[in-house]
Amino acid sequence: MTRLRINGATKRFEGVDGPLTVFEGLDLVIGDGEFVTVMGPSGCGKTTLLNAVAGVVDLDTGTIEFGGEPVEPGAFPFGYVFQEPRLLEWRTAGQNIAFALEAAGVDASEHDRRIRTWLERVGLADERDSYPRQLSGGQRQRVGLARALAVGPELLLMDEPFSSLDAVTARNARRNLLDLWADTGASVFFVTHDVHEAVVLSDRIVFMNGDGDVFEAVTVPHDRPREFDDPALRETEAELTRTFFEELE
Amino acid sequence: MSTDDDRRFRSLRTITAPRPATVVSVLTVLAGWQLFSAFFSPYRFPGLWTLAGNVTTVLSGGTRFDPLTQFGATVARVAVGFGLSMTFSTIWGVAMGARSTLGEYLSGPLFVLLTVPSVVWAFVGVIWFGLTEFLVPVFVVTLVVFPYLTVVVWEGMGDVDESLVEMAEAFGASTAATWRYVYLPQLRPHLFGAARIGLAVSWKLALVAEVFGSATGVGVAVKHHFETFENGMVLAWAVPMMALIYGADRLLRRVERRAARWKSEATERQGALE
Repeated sequence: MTRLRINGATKRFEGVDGPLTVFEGLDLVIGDGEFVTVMGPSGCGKTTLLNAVAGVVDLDTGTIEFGGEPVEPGAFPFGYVFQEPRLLEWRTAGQNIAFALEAAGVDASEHDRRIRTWLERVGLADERDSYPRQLSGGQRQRVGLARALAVGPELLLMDEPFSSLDAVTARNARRNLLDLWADTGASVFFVTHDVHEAVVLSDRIVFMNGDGDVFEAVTVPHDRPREFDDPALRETEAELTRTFFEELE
Repeated sequence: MSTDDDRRFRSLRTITAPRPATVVSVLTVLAGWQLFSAFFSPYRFPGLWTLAGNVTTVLSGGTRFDPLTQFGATVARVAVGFGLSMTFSTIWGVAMGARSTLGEYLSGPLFVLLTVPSVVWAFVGVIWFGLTEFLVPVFVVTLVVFPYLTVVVWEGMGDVDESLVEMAEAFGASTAATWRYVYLPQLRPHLFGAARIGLAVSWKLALVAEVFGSATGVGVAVKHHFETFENGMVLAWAVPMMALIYGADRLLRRVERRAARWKSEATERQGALE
C-alpha cells in the first residue's frame, strides 16, 4: 500500500535574477512502513520538498495523496524532525513535547503518558524537567525525535537530523531510530547527503541532482537488522557513491 | 496561614528584598549627593538632611498642597499614559515586525511621531481639548512615549527565531499557541525593556504636561514652589515620585528575572557540570 504519493510537484522561488526552479514535475512514492531516503547535494531542494509535504511551504503545482486519498499538504498525521533540534529553550523537554501534543490536538489526559513513554524510548526518561540548554546536542536531537513520535505520526519527516552530531552519537542515534521505526510502523521520509547513512537506514534511496531532478532510485538489497560495518553494506555504499558523484560531475 | 499562602508570601518577599549591589548603589548616590551639596548654598543644592526635612513637610501636608491629591493625580496620569503607551507600542511594534509590508507602511508615521517635540504635543493637546485635568497630560504622555517603545518592540520582533515559528506551524500549532509559546517568550525581554524605559519617561512627561495646563499634580506644586523661589521644595516634591518610580522599576526587574528563570537554572547546572 502507498502511504505518501507526490505527483508532479513544482516549486519556484523568486530569485534576484528572475524565478528560480527548485524542482519541477517531481514524483515520489513512499509505501506503508517504508523507509525512503532522498539523497542530494546541498541546495538541491530536499528540505523544500519536506516542507512542502508538511504544508509549511506552498507548492506551485502538484498534488499529494495520503493513504490513497488526495489531501492538502500537512493534513495528515506526521511528525517532523529538523536538522537543528528547534526546541523551545524556555520550556523543559517534557513541555516541548506537550507543545507538539497540544498543537496536534492530542487529548490532554494523554499528554503525561505519551511524554513519559517517548522520553523513555529515546533514553531520556530522567531529563523530562531539563531545559534544552542543560542537554547535550545529541540529547536535544533525541527530544526532537521524541516530540515527532509522540504525536503518533503515520509518516515521519526527517531533515538531516544527525548531520550536526559527532560520529559516535550519530551512530547510536541511527540505531535508536531504526528500533523505534520498527516498533511504530510509521513510514519515514528521510533526507541526507551522507551515502553511508542512507544505505544503513533505508529501504529505498532516491537520488536528486543539483537541479532538483531525480536521476536514480535504488532499493537497498540488504536484510534487516543490518550490521552497520557489514562489508556488503560498505560495498553498496561505495557503488552508490560512484553513481552519485558521476552524476554530479 | 496555610502553606500555600506561606509560599506565596515568601516568594513575594524574595521579589522585593533588596540585593547587596542595590544597597551599595543607592548608598553611593546618597553619599555623592551629600558631598556635592557641600559645594553649594542650601538654596541651590540642599544637603540630604535639609532635603529630608522638606520631603517630610511635603508628605505631612505642610505646604499649601495636599500630598495625597497631588501625588494621586500624577500617579493616575502616569499609570494610564504608560498603560496606553505599552498597549499601542506592543500592537504597533508587533504589527510592524510580523509583516514586512505592514512594517514599511507603518514606519513612516512612526518616524513622524518620533520627531514631534513634546512641547508641541502639550500645546496641541490644550488647543484640542482645552485645559483638562486628565485628558491632556495622558494625551501628551501617550503620544510622546509610545513611539519610543514601538521601536523597542519592533526591534524585538526582529530577534524572533523564524525556524521555531516554522516548527510550530509544522506541528499544526494554532495562532494563539504560537504567539503564547513561541513569540511571547522571545519578545518578553524586549517588552520588559520597553516597560522600564516607558515608566521612567512617562512620569517626566506627566510633570511637564502638568506644568503646562493642570490644576492638580506634582507638576503644579513644583511650578508653584519654583515661582516662589523655594528651590528646596521643588526637589522635595520630586523625590517621593522618584522613589516610587524607582521601586516600580525594581519590581519590574525582579519579575523579569523570575520570568527568565529557565536561563539561570540552565546556566547554574551547566556550571556545575563543567
